[in-house]
Amino acid sequence: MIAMVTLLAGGVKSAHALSGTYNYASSGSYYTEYGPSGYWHTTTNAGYCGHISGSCSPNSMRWTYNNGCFPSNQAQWNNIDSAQNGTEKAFVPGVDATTTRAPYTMTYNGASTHTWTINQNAYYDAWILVGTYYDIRNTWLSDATCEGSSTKVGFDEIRILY
Amino acid sequence: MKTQYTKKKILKLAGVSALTLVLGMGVTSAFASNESGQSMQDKIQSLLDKLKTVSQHEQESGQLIDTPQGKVFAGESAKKMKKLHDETQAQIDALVARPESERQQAVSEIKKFADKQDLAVNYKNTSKSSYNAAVSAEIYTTDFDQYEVDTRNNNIIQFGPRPLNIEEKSKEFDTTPRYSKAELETMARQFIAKNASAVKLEGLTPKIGDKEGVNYFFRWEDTSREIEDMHPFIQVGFSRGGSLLSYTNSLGL
Repeated sequence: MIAMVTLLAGGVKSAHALSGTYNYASSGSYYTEYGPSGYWHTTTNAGYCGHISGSCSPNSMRWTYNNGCFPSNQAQWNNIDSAQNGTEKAFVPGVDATTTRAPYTMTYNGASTHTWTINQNAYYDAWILVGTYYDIRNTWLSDATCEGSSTKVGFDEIRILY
Repeated sequence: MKTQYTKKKILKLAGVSALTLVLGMGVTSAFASNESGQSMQDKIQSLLDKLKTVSQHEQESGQLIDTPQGKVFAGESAKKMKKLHDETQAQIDALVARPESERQQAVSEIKKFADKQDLAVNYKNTSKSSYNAAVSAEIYTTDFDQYEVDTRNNNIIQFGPRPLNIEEKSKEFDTTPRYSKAELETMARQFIAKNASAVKLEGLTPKIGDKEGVNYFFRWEDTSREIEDMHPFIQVGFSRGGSLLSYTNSLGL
């Protein structure tokens, strides 16, 4: 049996040990967007909470068009600090996620960073396993895909397993 | 300069913190805790404690720079801490991984799946499945791809482009408008018959989607049950030029 609990901690950082599966959505107090608001878009009934899971919110995902090699719009999932290993996954929505080089950056291990890209165009409503890291602190995604053509960068769920 | 293609939509944040915690039986039990497991957990904790100590010292006396992501390691500190982190993770993985001899079966399944006996398959680590945290899964990579394999039976749970380092070039797919949607669906059915022959699509709910009419995804869900809030499914993605994009089979989890 699976229970879903919504935490209303308001973005408080914690150093206590975590256990279980933590989903960070593309809204709310654990998520912050940057860049011109006119370039941000919402698609309802899409993404993990809007299209796959019936037990979480919001029922929408966010997206923006790519922007050459320099970020204009980006977002941060402010993950709960915990001095333990966590396995991170990113959800790729079935719509409005067509970039072949979605650039993510993660901070972990106190002050280390790792930047990687995911081909969102090759996945559809699926979780992509990124890897296992110690003390994951936050995850960023930007529109700086360095692609020559117009693509969409989808911002949806980040999941960390402890 | 960024091009604006559509009118701005007003962002309405949901009135919740939008962090959900999924609690489930066995969610944390991918690496079972028994007498030897407890000892393994102690070893893991000891390794992580050492990593933490060095990291804290490096944050106090090493090279750091301010970035949009906060104060982060730079220069030699970044290299040193990445190396230490990777070594620590490898040591931890050695404690939880199957013996290499057992992993050879997974490698064989991957080669069979790719239809390439000379494929260079690299073991990455042992983790929890993307679709059921109670199931232990191994991650393997090839030149451009990533495979998630169920350690209980060596079945491939997911295949697709692996996350790439920022400087790596993306895998190219054939996007020539060669096949119709119906032809691609036939290919997807044939692919499942070859690679997941035990799956009977008749009893599953079909869901077909596409990305901009270029990449097509053929999905069949078992709507009679859920795993971690998601219907188990099998899905095959093909480009309109006939390139295999990705594959997921969570029906056996």
